[in-house]
Amino acid sequence: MKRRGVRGEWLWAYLFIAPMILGVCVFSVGPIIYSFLRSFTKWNGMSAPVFTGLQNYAAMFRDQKTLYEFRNTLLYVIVVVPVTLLLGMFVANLLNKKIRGKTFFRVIFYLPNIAMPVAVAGIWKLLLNSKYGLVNQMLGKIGLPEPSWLSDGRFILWSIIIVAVWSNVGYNVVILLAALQNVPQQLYESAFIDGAPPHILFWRITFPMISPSVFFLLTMSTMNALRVFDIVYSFTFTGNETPIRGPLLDSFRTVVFGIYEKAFVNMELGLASAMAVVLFGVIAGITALQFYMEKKWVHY
Amino acid sequence: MKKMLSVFLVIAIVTSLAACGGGGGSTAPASSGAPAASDGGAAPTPSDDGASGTISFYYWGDEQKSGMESIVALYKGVNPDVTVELTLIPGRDQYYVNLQAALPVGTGPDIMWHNANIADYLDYLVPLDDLVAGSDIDLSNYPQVIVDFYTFGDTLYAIPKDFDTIAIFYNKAIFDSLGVDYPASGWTWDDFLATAQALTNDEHYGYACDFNDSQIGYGNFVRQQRGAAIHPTGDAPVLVNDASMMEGIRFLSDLMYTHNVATPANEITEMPAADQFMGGKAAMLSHGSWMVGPIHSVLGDDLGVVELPIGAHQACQINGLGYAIYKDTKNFDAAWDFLQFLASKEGQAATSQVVIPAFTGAADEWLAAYPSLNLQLFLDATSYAYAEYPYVRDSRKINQIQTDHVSAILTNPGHDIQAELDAAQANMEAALQ
Repeated sequence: MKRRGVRGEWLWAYLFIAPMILGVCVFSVGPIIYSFLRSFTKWNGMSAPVFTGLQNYAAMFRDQKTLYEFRNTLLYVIVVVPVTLLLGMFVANLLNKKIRGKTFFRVIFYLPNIAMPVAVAGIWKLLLNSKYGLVNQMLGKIGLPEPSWLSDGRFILWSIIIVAVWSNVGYNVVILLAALQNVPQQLYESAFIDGAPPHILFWRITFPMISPSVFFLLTMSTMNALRVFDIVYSFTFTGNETPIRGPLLDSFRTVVFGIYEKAFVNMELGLASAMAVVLFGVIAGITALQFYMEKKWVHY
Repeated sequence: MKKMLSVFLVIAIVTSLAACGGGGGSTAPASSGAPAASDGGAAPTPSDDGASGTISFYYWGDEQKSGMESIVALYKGVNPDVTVELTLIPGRDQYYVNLQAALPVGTGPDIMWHNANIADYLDYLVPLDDLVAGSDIDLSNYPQVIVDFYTFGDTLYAIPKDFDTIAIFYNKAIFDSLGVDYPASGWTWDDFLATAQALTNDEHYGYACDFNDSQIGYGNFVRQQRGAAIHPTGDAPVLVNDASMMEGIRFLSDLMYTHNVATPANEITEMPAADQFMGGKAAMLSHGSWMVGPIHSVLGDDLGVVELPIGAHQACQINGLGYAIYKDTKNFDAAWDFLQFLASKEGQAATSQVVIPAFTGAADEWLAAYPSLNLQLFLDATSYAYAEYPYVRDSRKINQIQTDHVSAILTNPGHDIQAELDAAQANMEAALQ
C-alpha cells in the first residue's frame, strides 16, 4: 500500500516536469545533437548533406575571419563580465543603504535589461553618432577628442561593450541587492562592536555571504557574453541599404555573429554547425573551470 | 480535492501543448487536404477554370502589403473558388531564411516571389516555358532584362512582377541658393564632377551614396565603365578585377577623397546617404525608384530627378521581383491559375501605386503620383539597365565577399585598389569552387 503511494508520487513528479523536459529535449538537446552530426557535413540547408569528415573544422581555423571573431569575443568577455559584476556590486551596495526611493532606483537600474536589445542598440547609435550624437557633443564641450564611435575600427567594439555593460548591469544589481539584504544584520552588529573597519566588514562578512550569488552571476554572464550576438548584429545595420562589411565589420564581428553569417547568409550550415560545436566546447570548458574554482571562494 | 485539481491541471497543460503542436501542422493538411482529391482522384481533368482550393503566397516588405492585398481581392472576383492566403515576412533576409527552411521539407508556400538572386532556388521551382507557351502570357510585355533575370539556359522560372532602376535625386533649393544649373539628361561624369564641386561647401557635400552598395552605390559607376559589379564570363565564374571595375570604383573613391565632393564613407556609415540628402547635408543622391515617395514627402517640390551621368556609356543597375510556383505544390491548378492572373495587366496594375509593374503600360498610377517629377526616366532606364546580381549559384555569398573588399577600398583613402580587387577575385573564385 505504502509502496504504491511512493510510486504514485514519482509518477506525478514526472508528469509535472514532463512539459518542461519534453520542451528541452525537442528544442535544445535534439538540435544540439543534430548540429553536432551536421558539423561533419557540407550542407547548404536545401540539398542533401555530404559527409566531409573534419573538413569544416579545418576550414574554420584557416579562415582569417574566425580569428577576428574569437579575438573580439574574448576581448568582449574579458571586459564586460568583470565590469558589469564590479559595477553591479558597487551600485547594489549603494542601494543597500536606507535611502528614500530604493525601489524606484532598483526599477531604474533594471529597466535597460528588459528593453529589447535591438531598441537599445538603436538608441545608443543615435547617442554615439559622431557628428550629431549627444555623447560627442558633451565630449566636445569639455574639450575632449570626439571619436567616430560607429565607423572607426578602433572604437566600434568599445561602443558595443559600453552598451552591453549599460544594459546588463541592472540585472546584476537586482540579484546582488537581494543577496545583500539576506545577510543577517547581527553579523555586522557584532563585528561593529569588535571595532572592525568597513573594508573588513565587506571582505569578511558581506562578500562570503553573497558569494553564491556572485558565482551565479559570474557563470551566467560569462556564458551570455561568449554568445553575444544581438547588439553586434544591430550595430552592423546603420540604416544603409547594405550593412557594414569589410575591415570595419572584422573589427567587431563575434563568434555567434560568424555562425549566423555562415548559416543564414552564406548557407554553409555544416561549417556554421562546426563553429557552434567549438563554441559549445569553449563555453562548457570555461564553465567547468569556474565550477572547479568555485570551491575555493564560494561559501554556502 | 487537491489531487483532483492537479490531475485537471496536468490534463489541461498536456492538451494545450498538444493543441499547440497540432496547430502548426493542421494548417498544412488543410491546404493539402483539398488538392488530394484532385491529385489522387485518377486525374479528374482539372482545367484552368476548374481550379479551386487554397494556396499560400509568401512575400516580404510592409510597403507591398496594400498592393498584394488588392491583387488578392481582385483575383477573388475572377476566380472565387480559389482562396489565396497571404503571408507577409517582414524583411528580405528573413524571407530567405524562411524559404531555406521550408522549401526542402515541403512546408513552404505554393507561390512566392524572387528577386534577381534566384539561382539557388531553381530546384524548387516549376519551369514555366511550356506552361507560358500554352497560355495567354506574352513575355514581350515585360522588359527583356527582367525576363533574363529568371531565365537559366533556356528555362524560365518566374514571371516578372515589378522592377526598380537607379537615378540621381537632387535638391533644387541647394542648386538655387548657389546659382548652379539643374542637371540635364545626357550629362557626363565630367559634368557630374563639376556640378558636385560647385555644390560642395561647409554646409553640405555635392553628392552622397551608400558607397558599399552595388545596386545604388559603386555598382552604377562600374556599369558606366562597361563593366559589372560581379559578372560571369566565358572562362571565369566571376570577373571583378578588370579595368572597368577599377575605373568605376576609383571614380567614387576620388569623389570622396581626392575632390572631397562626396560624403566620405565614415559619415555614410553613421548616417545613410538618403538621410544625409533629406537633411540637406548633400545636394545630390543616387538611389532607387522606390525612394521617390519617401524623399518627396520630405523635400516636396524641391526634389528633382535626372538620369545617372554617362561614363564610357549610359548604364544603371536594375533589380526586380518575379512570381514563381513551388515545384511540389499540392494545388498546382490553383497556383497556375493565380499566376496567370498575376501576370496579366490587371494583376500587375493593381500594385502600381507602390512599385513600377513589370508589365509595359501598367505603371500609369505610379507615373501620375508625382506630376512634378519626370518619373518616366525610371521606366526608360530599362533600355540601358543591367542586373545587379550575377546568374550564378551562391551569389549572396560571393556578393558579400565583393562588398568586403569594396568596403576596404572605399573606407581607406589611398588604398591600393587593384591589389584589393585581385584579392576579391581570388577569394570569390575560391568560394565558388
